[in-house]
Parts: sequence; structure tokens; C-alpha cells
Amino acid sequence: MKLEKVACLEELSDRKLLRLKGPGYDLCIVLTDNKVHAFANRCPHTGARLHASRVRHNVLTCSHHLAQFDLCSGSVLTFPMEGLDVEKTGPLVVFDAEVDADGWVSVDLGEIELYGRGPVR
Amino acid sequence: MTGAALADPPLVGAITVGGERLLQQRCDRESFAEYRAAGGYRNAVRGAGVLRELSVAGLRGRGGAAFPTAIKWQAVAERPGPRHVVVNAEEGEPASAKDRWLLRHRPHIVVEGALAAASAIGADTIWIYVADRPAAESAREAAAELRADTSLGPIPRINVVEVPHTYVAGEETSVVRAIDGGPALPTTKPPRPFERGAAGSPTLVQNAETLAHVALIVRSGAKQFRGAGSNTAPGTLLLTISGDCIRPGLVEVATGTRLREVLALAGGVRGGGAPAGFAFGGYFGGIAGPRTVDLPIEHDALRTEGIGLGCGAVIVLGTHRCVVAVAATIGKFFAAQSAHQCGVCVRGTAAIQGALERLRGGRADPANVEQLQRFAGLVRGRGACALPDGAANVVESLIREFPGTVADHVGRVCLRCRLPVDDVIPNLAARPVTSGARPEETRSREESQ
Repeated sequence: MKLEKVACLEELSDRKLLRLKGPGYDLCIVLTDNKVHAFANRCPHTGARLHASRVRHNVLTCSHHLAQFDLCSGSVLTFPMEGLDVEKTGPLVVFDAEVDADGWVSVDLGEIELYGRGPVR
Repeated sequence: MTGAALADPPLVGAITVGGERLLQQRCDRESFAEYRAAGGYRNAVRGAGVLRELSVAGLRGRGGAAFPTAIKWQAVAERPGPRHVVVNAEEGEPASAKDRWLLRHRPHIVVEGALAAASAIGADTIWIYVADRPAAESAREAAAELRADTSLGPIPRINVVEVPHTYVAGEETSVVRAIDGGPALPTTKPPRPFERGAAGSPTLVQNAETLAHVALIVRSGAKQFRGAGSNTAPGTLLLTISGDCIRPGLVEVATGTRLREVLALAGGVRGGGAPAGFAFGGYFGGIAGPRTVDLPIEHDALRTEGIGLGCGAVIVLGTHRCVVAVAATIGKFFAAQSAHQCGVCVRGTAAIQGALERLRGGRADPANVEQLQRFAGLVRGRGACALPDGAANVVESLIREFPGTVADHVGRVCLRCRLPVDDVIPNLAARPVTSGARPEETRSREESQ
């Protein structure tokens, strides 16, 4: 685990995605149901960016083909409505995220270095 | 059975739990008064409640993609208005007749579903998009009947749009383009209609049968809807069964019903014997072997076998049919129905047609079969719409399901291939409207309110 402070809890409003982009990584964090989730900003279906997507409870709905992913496990809940290899859509790459007592959101950067450029299909 | 006979198919029967839902043994049109007397337009669920009920019901679209409707509706509802609802009854698949049957004979169940959709997503306009003239007239009459009845309170504007019957006209972006006054031809995505559709507004394009199920869900509840069908794809679905069967027509079955049972309802294979195969999804889903009779009719189950159920059109191929001749005819159909907008579609479907014709004529060598497979891979997922995927599905299913038959056709003339297949593979006479056509040539519109 290589936890790195990436944002402050105050920056997050409920269910609004915050995009964090830097050299070698592009990820989103979101606060929903009092839990912070971090995931790669890349849809496993087509590789499209996810930062304009919608979150309800622990479910992320991709804005492009309406595929749905579980933010806790990354698993596919609903396959995309159309497009190539719909059934081969893999899981969303999710990262461990924590909020410390001072309200800082930390994400496991070790995993970001491995997967931050997008999911491995 | 010919393509013309499918225009108003007879009802074959039903295998459901609790009887028929959408089909009724009738050949006339259900009037507004009859529909109301049977409990229509009395839905207690409106607004966001429809979405919740739909989510619990687990209704999946009946147009071909089988996508969960609640997710699609939510995506439209979340976007800023104004919003539109489109009843897509164009039915580009020539072997399908369910949507036109519904609009011709039970228009109010479709319209009630559209009203529920408009209420759920906050839409102020409903478009009924149709190619079949009697269906369009029935829809107009339904809208007029609704308008004349003041007891229902304010309802959204209902417009009927008629377009020429072509394969690509039923594609979502074609629908939106035609409603906006253009030709009924697909456009590139994004934006998709749920993002920016008719008049630049978020638009819910939903198949007519799907909306008919919605009407039943808001009337009887999600629990009753889930009383039939499988857990992952609950409810019933309409199948148009045609080809070499004794009683072709429309069937309503619970999802998961075996094809063998449906075939029995249709009187079995004409001429007796085992079927040579089945063309699925209209033409889009590919050709499946005789083993399919024991598979459940359900999108996910068939998909894992590489078969697309599509809009629920099943063509039975009798013992005497050669599947290569059927594939070549469908390949020709796809090449003719290309909108001529995307290069990969124009050239790819023509190349597939040529290669299938060579195989049918006994002029193919082993390299041609490999080439055919390569063509299918090259066109898949390309172009503005899914027409090239349809051509790819036919090729890939033929090679996968009938490897022996394909091998037998390499360098050999098949006598059964010389038999015409036009009686089971109806072709559309109309060519797609070219992109240069004037809007008024491609549609007629009537604003009913």
C-alpha cells in the first residue's frame, strides 16, 4: 500500500465525480453513501472517459453506453446498451481509498502506477 | 409464407403463465371504449413511480438489444428538458410483424405505455414512428380518441410520423433524423438519442412492444409482470414465426420457453422432418442449427450460443432448404439495404454478398471461406449503424453452426442451393432513401394535438 493524499473531503459533494489527472494517471473519486470510491477514468468497454458519468448509491452508470459498474468491487452490473464486444466488457478498475481523521482522501498510488492508465483487458 | 403475408400475421397462440398478455384472439381493432372497459388508462402509477415499478419489473427492451429499460429511461430523465418519447414501430426486420400488429389491433396498449413513459421522464411530446400505413392510421385514430376523451386530463402531444419501410429506418438515430425532417438514415454516435435526440432534446426511443409491456406493468404491477418468464429477463415476448412451418404468425411466450414448444404451436415443420435450421432475429441474429430447438428463447441464453434473438422474428428452415442459399440471400439483402453512407458498409456488405454467392454457386475455394470469415471480422462494429454487424452475424453463424455444409460447398455445386428461397426470406422492395432526398419525400407527419 502506498497511500497518497489526493484530495480533501470538502472538495467532494455527494455523488459528484472529481477527476484527478496527472502524469501517468487519470482517475475519478466520488463520495456516495458516506463512502469515498476511487476508480480509473476509463470505461472498460470502449476506453471512453468516465468523469461525466452518473453515480447513484454504489453504482456508476457510464454516460456513453449506459453500462453500470459496482463502485465497491468494479464488477459489471449491466452490460453496455450497444457497441462492440458488449459481453466482453471487463470490470472497472477501482482503487483503495481512505479518509483520515483530518478529512484527507488518500488513494493507493501503488495501484495507480499499475493501472492508472486504464484497465487491463 | 411470403413477406406480404407477414403484413398482418394470424395469431398462433401463447405459452404464458396466466394467459395471454399482449395478444388477444382478435382480428379487428380494439377501440378506446373497449380498452377502457378492460381496465385501460386507469393506471395508478405515474411520474417517478413508473420508473421504480419498471426497475423492479426488470423489463428489458424488445427491439433487439434487450437493454434494461429503467436504466435507459433514467438516463433521459436526468437530462434537462424538454424531452421526447418515440414509439418505434418501424420494424425494419422484414420477418417481424409484432409491432405493426400491436398498432393495428391494440393501439391503445402501446399509447398507454408511451403516456406512462412520458409521465416517468417528464416528456411533453410523443412521436409514433411507423412505416406501415394501416398501423399509422390506427395510431392516428387512437390519438384522436384520446383527445376526444377529457376524463384523462392533460396529455402530451401525440404525433404520428410515417416513413418508407427500409432496414435502417428503425435504427435509433434514423428515427431521430426522420422526426427532425431529414431522411430516415443513421447518423454517427455520439450523440445518442438519450443525450440529444428529436429537436436536440433528450429522447427516449422505445420499441412498441416494450411500451405495451409498460402499460401492463403500470396497470397490474411489477410482481404480476415477473410472474412469467425467467429471472434475468422476466415477462413474455412476442415472436413472429414464419418460414417452413404449418401455421406461421405471432406467438406470445414466456421468456425461457423452448423453441420446440413454439414450433409445436406453429404446427411443426412444413413437409415434416427436422428443421434444417432457423434464421434468428429477423435476419440480424444469424442462422442457427437444428440444436436450437432445445434452447430457451431468451436473449442471454441465446447470446452465449452466439445467436441473436433480435426483435423476436424466427424463420423456420425446412429439411429441404440449404442454409448456404439462405445465407447468400440474406447477404444480398444486407448489401441492398446499405444506406450507402459508410464506406465499410458499402464495400463490406457487397464483398460478403459476392463471397456468399460464390459459395452458393459452387465456385468457392478454401481460401474464399477464410476470406469470408475475414470480411465478417472487418465489418463488425464499423459504420454508423448495426447493418454491417448483421451481415457479419450471418457469415459467422453459417461457418460456426454448419461447418460440414460449408465445406461441402467448396468447389461443388449444390442442387438444393438452386431452389429459390424467396418464399421464406422476404426481401424488401424499397431501397433506402438516399441522403440527398428531400425531407417531405421521406415522411409524412400528422400532429394530432
